[in-house]
Amino acid sequence: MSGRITISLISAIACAGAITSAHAAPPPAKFPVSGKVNSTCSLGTGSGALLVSTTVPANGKLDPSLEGKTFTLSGLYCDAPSVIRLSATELRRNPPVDKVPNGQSQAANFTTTAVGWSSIAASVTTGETSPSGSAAVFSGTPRLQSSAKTANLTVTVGNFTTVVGSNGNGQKLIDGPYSATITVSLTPGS
Amino acid sequence: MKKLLLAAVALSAFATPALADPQASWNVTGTVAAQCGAIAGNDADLAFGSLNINASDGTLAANGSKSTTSQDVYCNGGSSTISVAATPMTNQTNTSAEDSNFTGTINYTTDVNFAGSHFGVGATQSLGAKAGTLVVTASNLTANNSKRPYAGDYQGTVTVTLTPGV
Repeated sequence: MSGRITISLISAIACAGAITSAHAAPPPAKFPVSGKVNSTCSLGTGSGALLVSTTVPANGKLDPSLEGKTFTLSGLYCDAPSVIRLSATELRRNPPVDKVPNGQSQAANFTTTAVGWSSIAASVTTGETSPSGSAAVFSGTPRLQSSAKTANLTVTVGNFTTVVGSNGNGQKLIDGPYSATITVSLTPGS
Repeated sequence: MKKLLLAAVALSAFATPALADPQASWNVTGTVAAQCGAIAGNDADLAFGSLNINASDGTLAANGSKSTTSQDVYCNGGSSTISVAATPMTNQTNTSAEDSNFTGTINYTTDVNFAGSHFGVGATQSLGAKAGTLVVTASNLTANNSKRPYAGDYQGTVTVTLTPGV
């Protein structure tokens, strides 16, 4: 009995050896395929710079239709988490006068808000303090979008207030053309 | 009678050596085992690097093709087969699920050129006895469902298996 088992084992080993030598298959060859998509944001077809312009008449009052005026940016996307930032210059006479008459102003602060990207809307309020105004750029708090996103963005302006001097004068705006620039920026990051 | 006896003896003397002439033959045999030469994989050959993206909308742009270094390979069996498998490139750093706009999967076309014969993805394709150069090419990168690819590092794998057969 044990002799037969021994013979069987030998036969099995011999067969295994024969099979191995008859089909010498090399191991599968693996080739990694790789690539990298860089983090990118786009403001779509727009540049992200929005111009607010108006003409102040002789009565020194802002056109009421400026309040709530909206701008739409289309086709924004970021392929990674992103940050949206708003910055703006005050609404200022353009060109500015060299000397602002006493009791008048050539600057108005306002608030602009961007809705449609981050869960907390990005916004900025200009903070000019001189009736003469300046070219200062005011920046709002960056707001996070934690996922890749495509969207259209609605930017609204409002709460226009004439910059009043320290003596309390300056409620009336000098007549003429006025403009402000709002800048929207989208950058990858978190 | 005596003459007849002598003739018979003489005849038998001639006949006996012819019947006893021996002949032998030997078969000369051998076996050539069916086998295929090994293919060397290479980590760097199919690396596309930074992929081109259409800046206006974030979709994947054309990215050309990448090929492995040519290497000499053979299979000596008439029933040898080749199997080619490929996994899509998937995002290794951002595993977010595919949504309505973005995807973490990039597909590509695989071609294995073995001595002038081309093989795409498929199991147990007839190869036969063949010897020559083998080159693997990945091309035509496309984001899954034509969506925008998430930012991140992508990786897939092409696997080539040669199976010898007699």
